[in-house]
Amino acid sequence: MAIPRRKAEAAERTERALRAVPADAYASWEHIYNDNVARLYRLMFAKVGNRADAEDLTAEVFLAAVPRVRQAASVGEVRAYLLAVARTVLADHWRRTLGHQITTIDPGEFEQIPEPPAVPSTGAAAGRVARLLEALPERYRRILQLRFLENATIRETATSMQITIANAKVLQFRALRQAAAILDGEGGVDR
Amino acid sequence: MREFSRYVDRLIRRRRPQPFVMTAEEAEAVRAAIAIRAATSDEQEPRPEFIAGLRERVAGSAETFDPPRVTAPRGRRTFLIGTSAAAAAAAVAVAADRTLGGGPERPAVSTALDPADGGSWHRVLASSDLPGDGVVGFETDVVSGFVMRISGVLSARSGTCTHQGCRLGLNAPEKRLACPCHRTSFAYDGTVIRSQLPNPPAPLPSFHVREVDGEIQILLPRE
Repeated sequence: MAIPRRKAEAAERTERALRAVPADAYASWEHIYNDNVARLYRLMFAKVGNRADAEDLTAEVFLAAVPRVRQAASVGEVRAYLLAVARTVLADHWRRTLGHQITTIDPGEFEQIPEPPAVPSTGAAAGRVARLLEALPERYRRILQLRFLENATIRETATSMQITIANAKVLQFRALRQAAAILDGEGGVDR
Repeated sequence: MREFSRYVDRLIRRRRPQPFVMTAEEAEAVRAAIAIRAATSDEQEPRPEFIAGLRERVAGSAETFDPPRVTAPRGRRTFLIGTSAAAAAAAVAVAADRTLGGGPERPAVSTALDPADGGSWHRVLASSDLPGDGVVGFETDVVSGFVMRISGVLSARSGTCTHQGCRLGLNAPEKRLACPCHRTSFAYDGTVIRSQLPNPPAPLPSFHVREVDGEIQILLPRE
């Protein structure tokens, strides 16, 4: 039994290697899909911050892009195309829902999304949030910690901070505005 | 403030946030909320059921993977399932397909959809958006493009690259429409000026355009 397993492991290694250094073109739409779907979802999630929208937008991109991809297109061309479609789809999403371009996708951003599953607590994004919170004044940091890291409701937050619910809402708004200013200062994080 | 708070609340509770009309300040704050939520959420990875389900859906739309395509009417219908991005690319591609025939003997500059084919006029800009000479981008539910007024003469051209459907950007100083995907650029008359591709893509299709009652309108195929 040992030998077949070793063979299987070798095959898996080869497959991983092939995926890491992809051949010049995708063999089928399924390869395009398998190779890019998780990455694209992560990208969209980073832009909208909720699963429902991230899933819808990811689906929209693939349903729009896959039928139009030439079989001979190289991996780089396919990714560039997926990214171009993703940018338009995200821009449309914001236009439809909030009327402001809340986040955008930069050229080349797709390649920066890590291939292996990102571990949320140790990811680069989590580190950026920790630094962001540190940069905020005490009360702003406290309310965002309670709300976003400890998932406290606005009522629980208000009680914990000994303020009214109305004041908690205002404080949350101001804290987020200041956080946005810091993010902008960093050079457009997650824009 | 109430709607903003509700938006953030749903974001934190892992629910789809509800759209509302927001101020620029609220938009800024929402952006920070998304950045923080996205980085701290345990939903950063796609669900396996989602990946499997979408694979099925894509399979249904992928029958036409090979060879290069976009032929009406089947392809068109497929694409219109998506929203404007897909539909825009598709509708223009269909128009290009009809007018160019896709053959090797492409005309230097493609002609627009013939009004005799049927179609309807759609407002894309107000005349006041383009009072003098210049180029202005537009988009409708199905297409995006550029309207040009050059020496007082109005014309309109697709804003979707004929290679792989990327959205073209306007480079006004150099008077060209540039594709971000493969370093290809088109002149305002639709001809290819520059391309890194071994086979330069087809010229950009044009739209019939007219100016009526203070509106600039283009002719689009009837649904």
